[in-house]
Amino acid sequence: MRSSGGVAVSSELAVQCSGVTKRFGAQAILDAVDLTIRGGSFLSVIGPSGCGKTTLLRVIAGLADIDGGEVLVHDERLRGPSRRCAVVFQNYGLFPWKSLYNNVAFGLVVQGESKAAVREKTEYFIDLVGLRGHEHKFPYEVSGGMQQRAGLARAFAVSPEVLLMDEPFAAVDAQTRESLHAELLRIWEHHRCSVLFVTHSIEEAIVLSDDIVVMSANPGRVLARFTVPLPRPRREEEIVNEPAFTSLRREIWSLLHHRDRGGSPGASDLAALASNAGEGDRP
Amino acid sequence: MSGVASERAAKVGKGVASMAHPERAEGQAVDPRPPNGAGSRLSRRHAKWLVRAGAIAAFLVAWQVYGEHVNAILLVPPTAIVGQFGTMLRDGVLLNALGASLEALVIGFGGGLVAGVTLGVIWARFAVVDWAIQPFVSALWSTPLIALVPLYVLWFGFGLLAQVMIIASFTFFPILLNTYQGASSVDQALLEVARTYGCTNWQTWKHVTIPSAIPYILAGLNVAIGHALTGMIIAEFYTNAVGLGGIVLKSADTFQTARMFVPIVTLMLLGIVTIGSTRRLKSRFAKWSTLSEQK
Ligand SMILES: Nc1ncnc2c1ncn2[C@@H]1O[C@H](COP(=O)(O)OP(=O)(O)OP(=O)(O)O)[C@@H](O)[C@H]1O
Ligand SMILES: [Mg+2]
Repeated sequence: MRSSGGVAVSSELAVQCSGVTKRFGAQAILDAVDLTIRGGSFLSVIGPSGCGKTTLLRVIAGLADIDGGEVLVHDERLRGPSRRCAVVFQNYGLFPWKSLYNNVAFGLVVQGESKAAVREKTEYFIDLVGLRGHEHKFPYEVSGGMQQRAGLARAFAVSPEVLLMDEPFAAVDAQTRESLHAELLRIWEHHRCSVLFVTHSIEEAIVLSDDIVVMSANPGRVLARFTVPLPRPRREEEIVNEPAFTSLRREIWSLLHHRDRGGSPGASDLAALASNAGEGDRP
Repeated sequence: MSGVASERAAKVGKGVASMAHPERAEGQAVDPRPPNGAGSRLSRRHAKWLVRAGAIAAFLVAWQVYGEHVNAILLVPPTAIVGQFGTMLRDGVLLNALGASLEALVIGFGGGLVAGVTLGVIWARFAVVDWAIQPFVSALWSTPLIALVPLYVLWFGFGLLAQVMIIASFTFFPILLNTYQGASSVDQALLEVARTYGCTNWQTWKHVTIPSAIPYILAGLNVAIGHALTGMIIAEFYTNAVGLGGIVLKSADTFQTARMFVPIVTLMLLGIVTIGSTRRLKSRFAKWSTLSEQK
């Protein structure tokens, strides 16, 4: 288990998508998408509904083929699902016939860990996500928040290099979501991996991420990339009032808002983009 | 086999639960449900059973009154059947017949079940098999199996073998179709979960496909038991008239109506017992499934 908090954050790129194009029929859903995730960093993707966020995540997970471009995971060309990536699903993706314990253990079991290692790691992650006392229950017996805790534990348990999350907290109530944010950040500090996090919520993206990619729809393209200038560790209830938070939120909001009305980003947005890129964002 | 796997899984879970117990005892010792909530639910259950018992009693009384006033060849009252039941229990006729019937039922049902699950899984697993057997299954499915019974007798004789083959055939189809349906309608999202964790084909079957087919197989079991009992009686009518079906046939030929009712009542009891045990299987192995919520 990688448990030291101070893992050296590798500066190499964990994921490189270059010119990724995906069509369903004649329609291009992803159009020459370039996207990189720095090793050990947390990147969120935000964009209007139907812009291809899920498609992009599925491509990186190796669940969907592409019609053009290239995806590298740690400099290796992607061929189907890889054990280097773990996915946390929006609707949890738990097996209804397995207890939470056996769901958490699933990845370890199928990846051939010894019985002792499976038990040790499963117990550890059950404690870590706060499922102790509920681990013998079945998914249908617990709340959505608790199911997603099990989903997180299952994914973190296999020590992935890249963690892919598709709106993992979209289906839980606001209060539970806040506590899951804190939990996710705490676990991630101790088990560093590169994260791609798809969300609809600008606040969620800022609270969690190092970098934020904004996509546009029809066809799906990368519109802008921001770096979140907030130090870690972060406390959601504190940072939401900070000027850096509110100004970034306004920036992303107006970018999405203009695109939603079918217009192109206004001059002020482009200026903002340029200044943000100047603040040390990687190309 | 997956039953064993999930049983083991459940045991692992229980082991963990007991380890966690000390912590749980502090936090969640108190049941938050108000006591009167539980009370009203209990009295509702009592009411259900009262109504049920009342309906049965009313039916029996009506039958008794009517049965005493009609030709005894057409219908006999329940008391006469109970008396006859006792007589046949004492002289061993009933138990012998039941034994003979159950022997054929158990072998035939077991064989049909194993064959149905095995072939259903293979059918769902390999597209080639799917293409090959579709026409056969459609043809056999739309053929009333009863039409084949004389043929079976011709092939397998008048003994136990023919009975077993008939019962197995009656059992086989519902199990086959349900297993196939269950194994081929697995939630795609869960198959993707398995893929992202790098499951081999075999692991996907063990952890995803077969467990998700179990509620379907259990639902098929319910139907199959009804079919198997039908097959059992038909087999006994057509073969050398042993077992419960034999008693029905012989008593009908000699107008011993009370005697004819005894194996019929026995069959009803047998049906209740077997349906009850499939329900127990469901609550044990498919509690998680929405399929099993259809009561
Ligand atoms: N299997 C498919 N076949 C055809 N079209 C598809 C398929 N999957 C997705 N699409 C289309 O691709 C587009 C992008 O879908 P995708 O699910 O990636 O969007 P999204 O950004 O995740 O949206 P949301 O925010 O609503 O989750 C949509 O227009 C959708 O209709
Ligand atoms: Mg989506």
